[in-house]
Amino acid sequence: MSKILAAFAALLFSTAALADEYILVTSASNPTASVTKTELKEMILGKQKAWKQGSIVHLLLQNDESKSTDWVASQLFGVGVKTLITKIRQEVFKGELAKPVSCNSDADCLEQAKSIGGALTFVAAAAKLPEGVKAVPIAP
Amino acid sequence: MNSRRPWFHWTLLAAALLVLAPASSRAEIPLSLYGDIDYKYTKDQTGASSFSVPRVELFYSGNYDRLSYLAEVMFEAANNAYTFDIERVQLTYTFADWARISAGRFHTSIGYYNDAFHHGYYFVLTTERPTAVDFEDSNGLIPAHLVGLQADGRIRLGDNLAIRYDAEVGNGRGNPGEVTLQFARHLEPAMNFRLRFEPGGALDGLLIGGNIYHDQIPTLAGSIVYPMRELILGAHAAYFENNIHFVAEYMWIQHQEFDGGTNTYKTNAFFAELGYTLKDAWTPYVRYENTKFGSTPDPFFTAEAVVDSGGNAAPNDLGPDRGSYQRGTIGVRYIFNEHVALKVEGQLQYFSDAVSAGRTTVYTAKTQIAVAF
Repeated sequence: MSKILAAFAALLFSTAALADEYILVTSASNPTASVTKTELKEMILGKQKAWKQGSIVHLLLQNDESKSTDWVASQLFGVGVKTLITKIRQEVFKGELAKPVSCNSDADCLEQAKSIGGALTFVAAAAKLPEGVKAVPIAP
Repeated sequence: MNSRRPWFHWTLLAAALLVLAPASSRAEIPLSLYGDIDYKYTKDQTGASSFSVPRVELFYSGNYDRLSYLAEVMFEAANNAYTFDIERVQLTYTFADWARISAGRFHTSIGYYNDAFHHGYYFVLTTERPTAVDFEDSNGLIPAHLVGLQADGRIRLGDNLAIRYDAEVGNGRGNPGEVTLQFARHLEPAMNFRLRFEPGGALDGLLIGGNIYHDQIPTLAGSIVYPMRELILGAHAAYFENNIHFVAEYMWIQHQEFDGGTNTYKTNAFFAELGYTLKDAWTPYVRYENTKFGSTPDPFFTAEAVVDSGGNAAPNDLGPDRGSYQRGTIGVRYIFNEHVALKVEGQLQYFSDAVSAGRTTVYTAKTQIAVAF
């Protein structure tokens, strides 16, 4: 019984850790307090083109081999990273989504997000956020 | 010769600085390249099995805050030669999610497929578009491109519903096979309106909609004796979530003669395609198409296309010798990476012959390597 409880606890812990592995970050000038998972998916694919307060969404994405993009694909969309990247490129091709700004690392994404009012990017939860950016909680 | 040296040295220095400059300081030109290489085996009376390199395409998109611009330039094979075509030129200003205005040449918002999939076949699940929504110079039934103005937007009505609208006005139909990119061939502009519903919750990813398109078709010496009013009504559904790819469309097309003519021609077209992605790479798919022309051939659909994209005369395969048709397609797409996709498919087609009332069966096997860089 104790083994089952321990396994259950371990599962719960690992799930929570996975869910909190990456965070949503935007410019500090963006007044948005939180977004829902649905809104976030729609912003990433260009269905929702502006943040709630009005500034245009600018997606900053690490390359498709990065863990953060893999996390976005699996945790937000429930698909593989190739499927998500194909979908994003298709939306750019359709004219529904501005071409994502590419960044090379968490630090690079954070640095670029400072100067883009409607920036939308993901970095590791453990990353230290510099001045000029802020984390935005993702509501279920 | 000596007088050129300073210029030459400065050029060398500038080139060296450009090469040695860190990547982040270089201006990035957001230009993409698409294309495909195909092999098609056809078994019918006239068909030939062939390799083809049907298109190479350059795509540019740029954004400056709320303003965006895109251009799609294509080199397309026709009669064993490449022709040049600008498929899309679109300048867009986004006021808000609910209001976006575009001007230029764009894909008409008819049904789902036409403006969801463009010429880059890397993104298309199958090796060819459904014929009903193929392009003007490829026997398509709809006005795939419109030159004019477009307004579109999305309005969220609570947590579980959003509506999307598209309203367009433009030059409209020209001669068969033609996109009226420079001037309209009739006084009344073409008008199109599409309304779509996006439910949320358990139905997130589903899209259901309909559209109405009104236009005129000009006369054409030897083929179209009377001008016609065109009315296209359509309904569509699509679902792209949970690795599922699903599109179904129905359209009803009426061409009604006026100015002395009394005939009315009606065409019904339906297609549906379904795919499921496995292991983030493999997508097996099936597609069914059914198009029924009226008993009297529609002069617009049976006329020889006057021009194709390169200005060449192009035969229209939907003419009286090849009338209503049914087509079944089965295949699989494999995405190697973000640059290369491979498709292999088989196709069975039945064409009704409006002249002899007979039926032609055509078997086709096709493979396509589609690239995106």
